[in-house]
Amino acid sequence: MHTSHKHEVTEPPSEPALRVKALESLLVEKGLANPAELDAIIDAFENKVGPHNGARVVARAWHDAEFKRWLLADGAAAIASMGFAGRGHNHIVVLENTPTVHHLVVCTLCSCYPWPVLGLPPGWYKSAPYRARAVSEPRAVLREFGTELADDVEIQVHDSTAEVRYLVLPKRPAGTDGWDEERLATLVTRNSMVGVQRALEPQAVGQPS
Amino acid sequence: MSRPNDIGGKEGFGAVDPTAEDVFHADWERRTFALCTATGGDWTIDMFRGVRERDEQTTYLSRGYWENWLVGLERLVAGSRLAGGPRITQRPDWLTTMMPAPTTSRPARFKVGDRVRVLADEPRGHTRRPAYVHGHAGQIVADRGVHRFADRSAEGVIEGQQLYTVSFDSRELWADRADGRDAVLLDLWDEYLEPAV
Repeated sequence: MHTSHKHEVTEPPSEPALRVKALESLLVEKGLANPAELDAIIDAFENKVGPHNGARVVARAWHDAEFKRWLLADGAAAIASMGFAGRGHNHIVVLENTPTVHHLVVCTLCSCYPWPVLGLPPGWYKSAPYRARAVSEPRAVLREFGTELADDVEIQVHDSTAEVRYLVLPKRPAGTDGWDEERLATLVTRNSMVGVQRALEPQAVGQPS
Repeated sequence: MSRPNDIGGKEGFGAVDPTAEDVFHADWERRTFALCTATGGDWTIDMFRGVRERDEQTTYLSRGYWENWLVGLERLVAGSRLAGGPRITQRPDWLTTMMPAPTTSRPARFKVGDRVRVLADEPRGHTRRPAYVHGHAGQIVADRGVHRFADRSAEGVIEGQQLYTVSFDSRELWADRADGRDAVLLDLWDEYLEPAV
């Protein structure tokens, strides 16, 4: 870990690493935190919970019309049926992109994000430019991700202001007829489930359609 | 009182950097995340948000994301029973525990299809009513049921209230800055709204 020597003499408590250590020691001493549990939480979010979960949800919706209906009607229940859940995520709403409506998700007030299906948000999602501009100039933000929309497409920007969490169901790319769920999931990126990009085309993953 | 985190629609932040991928940059950030996730008690997520929103905007933005979480937990712990305040406990397992649904005796005042206007007064304390919709009119497009009301929950009072998704035409919010084809949708509690005529 990086240690900043220049601050150690003058203001050691302001070094976040030292402050976290002090806080953890206090909470462990009081029996309110357990180092093994902390390790398990970090492991879960670095290795188990992530956009691969959401990709499986999207692939199943593309593949199974009945599941898609359920997912759009009751996102949290359909997602929980695949084993993806989490405290505080009782309300997940799935937004279907269509030829005329494109959905984009942001949290202008902090960093609300559908953890059970996407994991923790990337740096750009938490950044001031994204939080400030996704609501006021979504088309410019999409262009910064290389995404151009046709003139007749309406953008619906969803600002996650309460405890409802939003997941975008991107459009299924052409040329994927007959693909199974596993193969379809390779086209579903995190960015496509936030709405800043489309799902990958078959050529992009080196698969002939 | 302006809140440092309320930056929707604010100008001057520059372009988004889509290559900024990293969730964590250092081990202390991972540890901060885990401590905040594992430690619970008499505070709610709204209190945790509220205590992070007490600083000047320049401080809040320059401090960085995970340090703001750390500051939040430090403030909650400092105000907890360890210092004579509310109880803190180990939280139940993150992956398996759902939050209990709050109840309310407050009737819903609106329904899907209603035109509503967001209150324009400056909220006191923590709120989930962003400044950029203050005084603006939109249409209720979904009723999300009864949810814990964030503003009160940040003060330790757990109370349910009807939550609606309200759609605003982008021109209503941003005038000529906006593209007339687009809309912005927010989840807003009953108390934030009044009928629009």
